[in-house]
Amino acid sequence: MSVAYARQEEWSIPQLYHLPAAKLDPFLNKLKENYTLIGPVVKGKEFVFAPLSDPGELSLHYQTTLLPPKKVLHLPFEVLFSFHEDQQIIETAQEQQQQIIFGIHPCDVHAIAILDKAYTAEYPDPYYIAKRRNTLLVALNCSEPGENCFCQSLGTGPELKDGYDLLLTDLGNGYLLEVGSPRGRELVQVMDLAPAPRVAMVEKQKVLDNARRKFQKKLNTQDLPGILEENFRQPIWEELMHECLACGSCTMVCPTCFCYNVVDKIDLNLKSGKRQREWDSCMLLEYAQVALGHNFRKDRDARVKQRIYHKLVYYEPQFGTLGCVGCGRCIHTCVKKIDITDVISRLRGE
Amino acid sequence: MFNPFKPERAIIKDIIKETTDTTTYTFSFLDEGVRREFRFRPGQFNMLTIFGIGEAPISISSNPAEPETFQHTVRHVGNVTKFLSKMQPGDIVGIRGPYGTGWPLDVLPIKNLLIIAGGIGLAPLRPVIHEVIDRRPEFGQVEVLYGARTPAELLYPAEYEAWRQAGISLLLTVDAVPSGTAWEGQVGVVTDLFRQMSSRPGETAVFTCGPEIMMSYVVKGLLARGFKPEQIYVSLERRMNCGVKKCGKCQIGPKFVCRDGPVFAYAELLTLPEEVLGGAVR
Amino acid sequence: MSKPRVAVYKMSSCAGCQLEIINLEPILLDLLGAVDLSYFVMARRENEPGPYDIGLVEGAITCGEEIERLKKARQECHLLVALGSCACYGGLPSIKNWQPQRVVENRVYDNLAAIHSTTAYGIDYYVPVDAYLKGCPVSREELLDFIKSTLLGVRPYLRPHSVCVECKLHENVCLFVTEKAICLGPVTTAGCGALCPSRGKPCDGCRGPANDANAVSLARTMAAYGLHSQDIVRYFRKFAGMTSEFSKGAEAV
Repeated sequence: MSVAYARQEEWSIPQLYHLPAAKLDPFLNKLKENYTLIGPVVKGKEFVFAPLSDPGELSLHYQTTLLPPKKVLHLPFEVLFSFHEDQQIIETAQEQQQQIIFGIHPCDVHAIAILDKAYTAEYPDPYYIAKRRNTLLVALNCSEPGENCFCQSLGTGPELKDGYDLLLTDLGNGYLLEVGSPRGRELVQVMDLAPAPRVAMVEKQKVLDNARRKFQKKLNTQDLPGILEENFRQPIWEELMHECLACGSCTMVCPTCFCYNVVDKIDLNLKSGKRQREWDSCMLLEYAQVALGHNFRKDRDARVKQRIYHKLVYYEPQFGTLGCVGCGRCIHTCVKKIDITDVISRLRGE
Repeated sequence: MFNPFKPERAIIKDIIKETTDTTTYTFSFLDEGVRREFRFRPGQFNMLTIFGIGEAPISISSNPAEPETFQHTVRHVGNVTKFLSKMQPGDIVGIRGPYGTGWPLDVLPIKNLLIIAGGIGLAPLRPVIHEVIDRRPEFGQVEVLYGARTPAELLYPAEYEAWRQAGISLLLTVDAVPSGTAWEGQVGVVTDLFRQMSSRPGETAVFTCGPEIMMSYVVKGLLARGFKPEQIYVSLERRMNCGVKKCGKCQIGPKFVCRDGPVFAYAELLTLPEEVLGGAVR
Repeated sequence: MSKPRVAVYKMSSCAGCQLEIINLEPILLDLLGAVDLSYFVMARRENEPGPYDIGLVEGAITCGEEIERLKKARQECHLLVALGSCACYGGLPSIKNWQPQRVVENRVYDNLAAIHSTTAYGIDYYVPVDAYLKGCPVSREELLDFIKSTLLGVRPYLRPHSVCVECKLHENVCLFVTEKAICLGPVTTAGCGALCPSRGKPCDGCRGPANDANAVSLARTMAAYGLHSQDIVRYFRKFAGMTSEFSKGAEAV
């Protein structure tokens, strides 16, 4: 992966700027000249990441979004190629306009780092990479964690340490703006910004300390694989089998889920058409079914376990990291309020 | 940038009907460069595309020494394979691969080889047999136990004589003999052949492929006969949409069957929390 | 190869699913290039006799005369398809099934002499069915996918999972979780493109139970949301109360 981020100390020129609240919109307008801006906007009582046609739509006070910003890198629906009547394959253009995900939270930045591993290791995925290479991350440290957030337990928030091009922290009267990459530095140069005063770093820590006190959920990660492996056969799984609706929502909103299904769509001439993929979910019955109808995870509890074990046990050997970033979306979206943090505390006998 | 999801066009060169529901197809890539570069190891698979119908993982069933024309033995059970049954020599399909690790013929210091197959499970093992014949002096005792539902459903019967002449011991069994069928061999499941086999655990690698229920009995029987989980290799079937560790469907624990398998040492499967080869002794 | 001949039959139904065939208008001529709509009373003045390659049956079976017509349809069609939720499960007509026939008939008809209605069933109660196209009405896209797959001789891809999957793919605000509305999306088959929730209206369950639907668990949550058990029963019996999954939901609380 060619996207390079560096810790601040590796850069010699000033890396800290003050972005006054009044300058946010002008800054966004400047960025819009060269980039598609994608940021959190209001949708009903929720927030979603969407292209900003007007900087005024940006809602940086959001806590979480329905879908993670993953959706602009690994699209919910994506055409892989089309095929013509003579069976010639026409690849979908993989060019991509430069885009900025503006206001992405630390948990989601960490999730993208995990997707980077899944999609750029062995057999790199050209569709993901084309978008990823052209995507800059202007992150926003969390000052108001939501009721389902537990990133603090996983070290993925509320403060972001790296993996960003620019990093904002809301200091009340404006933002502390930190530069995290050469591409981020180019972004800052579109504005005439004053360096941040030294005290800004102290204020930042105050904001983050305040945020840290507000977490309502936590997930104890100590010896997580051990705890889960010991408890593969435990009554709690049967209980969850009766609870879970197997609707798939938890995985559809997960920022680190990468599974997809492939479907060919043929035209009415029955010759030409396209092959497309869309997000899939291990929670769905058909996911592990093979040609003759045998299903390797027919029972709902096996699927509930697959989700939780994959996130908390299997990602580590696969990608060298936990598969959960504590964004809380799976808890929020669950009609039955099945809560991964609660499952783990119960397994621990807490 | 290289697109691992884009199939290469391949032409059907030849079609051999094996049984009522199983056919062997010979393919060759249209593009000369692709055709020349294509290599595979026994036990690897390709993703076979029929444009507009879909894609399916199919193991390669021919001799790795002849990669310019390769074969897939296909049972017509899903959309792709059923549609394939209607195609003719000269028709075009899409193929990408090969994928997976394959049988550890070159990885292990194998002296004796015991191959146990059920039904279409012989297809991914046939390249092993072909390679063993080509490299016969490197191996000691090689024994094949093969079972099918009926005598008519035994795959590759025309080759059995050549296998035997190469010093491979071949034991056959069928589940049932329909009336009017001539069959003087064994009737019963493949594990019934254990009583007749001469393979012993010492310095033997076991390769097995077939329905999971069959493999679970095979493993159980072998363990009872003193074989170790480390010397038993199984080839697993899982749902696959990509073949390249992306779509996620084939995962068992941290393993991607498409990349870490489809061939696994049974000992490796024992480390997984999910039970594989249902019911086998753990 | 001659074009496959298609017949469209109407049983007890509102004709809305047949209308969806006509609503394929932008591509109807292309479709007619691929199949002959040989028997389609709603759309043709002259209809051709069978046999047909594909029979699309709309409606629930609610009287003896329909049973006979259905059996004839089965005989004259190579593939018989349940078109829409009435034909799949009994659909809306099946809401009458939980009251005595005479009581229901009395409410609707003045003269009961000529009325001999039976329990409303989906068509597979009486004849073998080759495919089910769910929905009230059917999804045009699924209907078209089905026709294309049939022409190719393969199984169509019909989404087997919950409406939630499509809601999430379209990033709808969850009506259940966020708006505290009762929505049957988590247990209902997708394939509609999450049509209702995308327009702010909760899923009514018109497409019947999804793969592995856990209606019992959903019913418990509906009760926890303050729904009276009689209302829960009405939710689950509106379209597919005759299915074992939704009847479990109706009886859960």
